[in-house]
Amino acid sequence: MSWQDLGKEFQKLRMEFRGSLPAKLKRLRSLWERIDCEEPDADALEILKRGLHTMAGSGGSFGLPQVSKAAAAAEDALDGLKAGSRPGAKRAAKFRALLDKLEKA
Amino acid sequence: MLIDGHSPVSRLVKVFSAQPKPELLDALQKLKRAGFIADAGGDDGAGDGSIEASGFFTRPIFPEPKDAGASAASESDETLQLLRKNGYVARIAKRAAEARKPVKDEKIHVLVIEDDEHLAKLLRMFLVMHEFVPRMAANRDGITAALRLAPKPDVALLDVTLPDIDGFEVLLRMKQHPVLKIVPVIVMTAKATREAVLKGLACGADGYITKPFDVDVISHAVKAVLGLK
Repeated sequence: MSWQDLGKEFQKLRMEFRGSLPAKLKRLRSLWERIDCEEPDADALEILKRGLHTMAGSGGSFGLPQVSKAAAAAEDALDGLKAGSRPGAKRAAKFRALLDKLEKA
Repeated sequence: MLIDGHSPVSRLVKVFSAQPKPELLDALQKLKRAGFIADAGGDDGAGDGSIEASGFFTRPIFPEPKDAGASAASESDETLQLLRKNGYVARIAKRAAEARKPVKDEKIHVLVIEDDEHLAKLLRMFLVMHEFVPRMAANRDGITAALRLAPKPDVALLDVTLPDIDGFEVLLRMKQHPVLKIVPVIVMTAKATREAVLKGLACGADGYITKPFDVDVISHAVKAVLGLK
């Protein structure tokens, strides 16, 4: 494989990564719905945090720093939220707005 | 010792000279003499007033927006908040004590522990391009299987946020293992707090690279910890 091929492969991977984002975001939203509800799912918070953390870590490596930044901010917004407890209205609104930002990134 | 890369060495020397602990100044001067740090642009002050570091450096996690205006200012505030919260991007790799010259046809085996499938693919591709032999693992069972394979890896790249095991635990176990303890481990993580970096180094990591990263950084770090040119 030449460096030129590597460049093409990288572009392909980048497209693949970008293409995977809507499904990942959908999953994150679904996890959030399991948290922001009458009976919050205790496991969902950890999975959501990990999903955001992974996205924050990988976005920039695929040339999408805005994805990393938005995901890091969303992960940050979950700080202090206890597993199994429902987020307050302010936090919920902030988190939803950050997910919207992530979708546009 | 963590050094703020935005201060010139001469200023740090002045500040350290005023400290009651002479060992701090001594350590700084040793680093300078050994060539690990230097003022960017040389000693004549022609640089931008920051430190050039060899082997490690830190820089802000996200660059400040270039566009002026209200939205940029607001974004900058947000960036500063994140900086305060998340610390810095770290690119740390301890240089091997001795230079290593690979013998003809010798393959360097790199264990990549990464659960993000896209990043794992990227790393694999990049390592193959650099003529390393990657061995991939994404979870506890994968790690165990990969470490049981012969030959043992020459170096490991370790993501610390894994689905079923804490990467720091993997690091600790490797460093306590009679055979695996000599395998250099480079931690790759989006955990960019000072505490996380110090924890990684305290657990025995030979390198600490915060995500996201350019893949070139990985090659540089792997070569540094193995003593390759």
